Amino acid sequence: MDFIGYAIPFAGAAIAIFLAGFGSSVGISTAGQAADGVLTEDPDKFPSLLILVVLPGTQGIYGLLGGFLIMFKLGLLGGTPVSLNLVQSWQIFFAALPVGFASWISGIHQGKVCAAGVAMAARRPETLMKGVIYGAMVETYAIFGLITTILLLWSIKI
Amino acid sequence: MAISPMKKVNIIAHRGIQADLLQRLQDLEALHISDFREGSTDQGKATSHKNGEVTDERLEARISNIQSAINYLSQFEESRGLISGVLSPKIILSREQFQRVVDAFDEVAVVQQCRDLEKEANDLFSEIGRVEFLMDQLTPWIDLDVPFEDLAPTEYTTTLLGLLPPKILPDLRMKALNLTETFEVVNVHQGKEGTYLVAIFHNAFKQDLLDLLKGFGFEEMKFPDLKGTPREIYQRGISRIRELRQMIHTIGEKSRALVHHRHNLQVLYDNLSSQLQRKKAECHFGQTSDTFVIEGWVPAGKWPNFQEQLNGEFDELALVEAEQMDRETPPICLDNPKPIRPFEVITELYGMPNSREFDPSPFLAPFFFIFFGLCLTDAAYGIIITATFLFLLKKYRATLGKIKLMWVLLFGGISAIFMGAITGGWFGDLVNYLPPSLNFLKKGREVLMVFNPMDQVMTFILIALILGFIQICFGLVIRTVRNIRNGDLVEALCSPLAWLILINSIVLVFLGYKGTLPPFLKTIGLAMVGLSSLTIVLFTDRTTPNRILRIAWGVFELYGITSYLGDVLSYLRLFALGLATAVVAMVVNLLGSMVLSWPYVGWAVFILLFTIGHLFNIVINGLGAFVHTLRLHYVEFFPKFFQGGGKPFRPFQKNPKYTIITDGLQ
Repeated sequence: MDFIGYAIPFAGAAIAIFLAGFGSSVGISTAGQAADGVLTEDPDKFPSLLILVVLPGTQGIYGLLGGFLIMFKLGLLGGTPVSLNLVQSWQIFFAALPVGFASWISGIHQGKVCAAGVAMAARRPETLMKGVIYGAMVETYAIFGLITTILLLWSIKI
Repeated sequence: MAISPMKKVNIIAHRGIQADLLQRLQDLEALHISDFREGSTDQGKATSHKNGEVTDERLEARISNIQSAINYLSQFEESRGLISGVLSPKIILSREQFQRVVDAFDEVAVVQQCRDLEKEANDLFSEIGRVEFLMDQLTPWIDLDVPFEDLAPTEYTTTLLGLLPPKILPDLRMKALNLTETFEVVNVHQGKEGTYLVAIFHNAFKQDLLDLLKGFGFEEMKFPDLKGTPREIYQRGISRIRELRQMIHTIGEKSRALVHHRHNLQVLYDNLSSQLQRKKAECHFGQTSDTFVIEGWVPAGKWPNFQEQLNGEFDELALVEAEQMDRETPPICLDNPKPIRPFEVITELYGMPNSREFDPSPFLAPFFFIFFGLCLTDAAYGIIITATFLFLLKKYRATLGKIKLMWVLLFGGISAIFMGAITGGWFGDLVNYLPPSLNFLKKGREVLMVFNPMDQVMTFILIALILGFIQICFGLVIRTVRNIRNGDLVEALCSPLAWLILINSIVLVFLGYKGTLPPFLKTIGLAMVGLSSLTIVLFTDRTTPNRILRIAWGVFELYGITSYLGDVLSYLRLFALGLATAVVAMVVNLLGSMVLSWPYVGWAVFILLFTIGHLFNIVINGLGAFVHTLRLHYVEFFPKFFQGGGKPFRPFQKNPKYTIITDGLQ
């Protein structure tokens, strides 16, 4: 089949990056607002709360990672651009979905868990790490999404 | 073992030495004071004469006064730079210097001065607020060229100032002129919120006109006691504010002159708060009219020194080793060799082990070390992290050196160097961009590199899974050993050991099917799978008399195998995070190589991009590496064997907030 251009894989990369970025920004905003509320009372807590606030940021990076891996796969970043047929294009598109969707939803919800963690750490600073661990539990599923995307991408034969 | 054995002691002493003894105990930092009244058998001999917390209100008030003076002065201190500001280094001084300050420095005058200055400044600030509010109100009237005193009511006329809703002035004027001709409106200012106007009318029509104005939604504004035109008053306000700011500035100067007292205040604060702690400890003592009894725990390792020091210094004192009673649990003090000690913080964050189990710190240390490095997998990042923490720990040794987390991160950096070298990560794939003259670096990287995670994804995945499997098995081994040590051989055989055999034989069977291992192992594996799962089904719940229920619980327990699968898969995060670091680094390099070709500014932009990009990657992925390594230990590793519930050993000590005394006794 003839080379049909990169529109479909590009759509995949775009979805991975923007959904994940969306999830992360909502998540960080939720946690950040909670932290701001605490800081008005006690500005010294800034460094410790920062951990909880940036925690939902990793999803955005996973999405970015997925997007860039697609670009690597296409040979756009430091390589020779490959020629794709329709099936391969769609394969790349679908491979991008797990990281995009998992990061999107988990980012939003991780933000909520982190916001609760902020409230907890405000009252009892010694529980900070426990809040972080709960936040990290949500992130597991974004990581699974990323792993699936990576494995799917690697299994596509071009 | 890594949990230090504890000695329970009673210290019986004469009241006369109480103050000296307590101070000495604080310095020794070796005694965990428990409540004498609880669990004491000889209640008859000595009773604790006070109930609840002992407090000294005067002392507490003095401490809080000093604290507020310190806080007040802190805003006038010269900024100390970012790092020092965040770390707020402590004052390091010798015992003599400390005592000299305590003896010589009287805080009352300084505290009073601070309080006065603060109050004065607050008053000035609130006056500024009032003036600014008035000026705000006057702004729309600025063009009114009449002094306010001229707007006062006269014998025949009334003058009103106020705000009328927008666009109805002509209407109002018409209605008013229908009533009377002695009505004059001056439109002073047209604002978004309405028309600011002055209305003048004859007193004879006052009531009618007031009603009319009210009907139009007119809001009267009053400026009583003001003299001069609005513009004059406004100008006066500006100069008054300037004056007030100058006064605040003067107060700032005065306060700045007091800043040099801050260190003394802090020394005094620490001294008084340790005094308060001694006071508070008193409520845990047993008391008679002439003696008092302290009950507590001393780690066995510190016991000889503790005994020697106290007996050497005090005569009117008896140190008695007490029997540990059955229901008593000693506080837990972790005691590990130096390289493992920082990793105790991982255990402490989760909760202390109880006295019947092992301290998990030595077991988790090697895993934590490896996992953190695998999540970063970049040698150059590792070098940067290591160098940063070495620098910080060297420079702020007295403060930061005590923080175990710092050392853990230092070790993490070292680990990242190893893992980075193995996977060939040096600022990602930076070597590929180097000019040919630096080819030896490329060679060096290849010599150290064991596998390339970008090409050999499956290798990396397998490494992550195998490490996870090993850690989970290790956890089960620990539980087996603990059960055996505690004499519960049956539990060891039926639960952790059975699971250990089960998951290992499943792997055996799997590898047998795949042909990686000789097929006869598959048969052995299958037999062991059957045997161990049967053990789990039949013997996990050994207490329930109802056999059907017992087996049902056993089957349910066996279903837990899925969680083992999930646990092992969870270790894939090591791979995902490792790859994430590498890919982000590659992207930074790629962008850098693109801007490098820009004319003129290329190099500058490149350096900026390179620094910020990689720094960002280090911080974000370093945080991820730490958090996720921690999570793997807390969620996957610890539940396999860790019970927890021990209460931490909290030695009676000074706990200074601002100072560090260098010539300690230990």
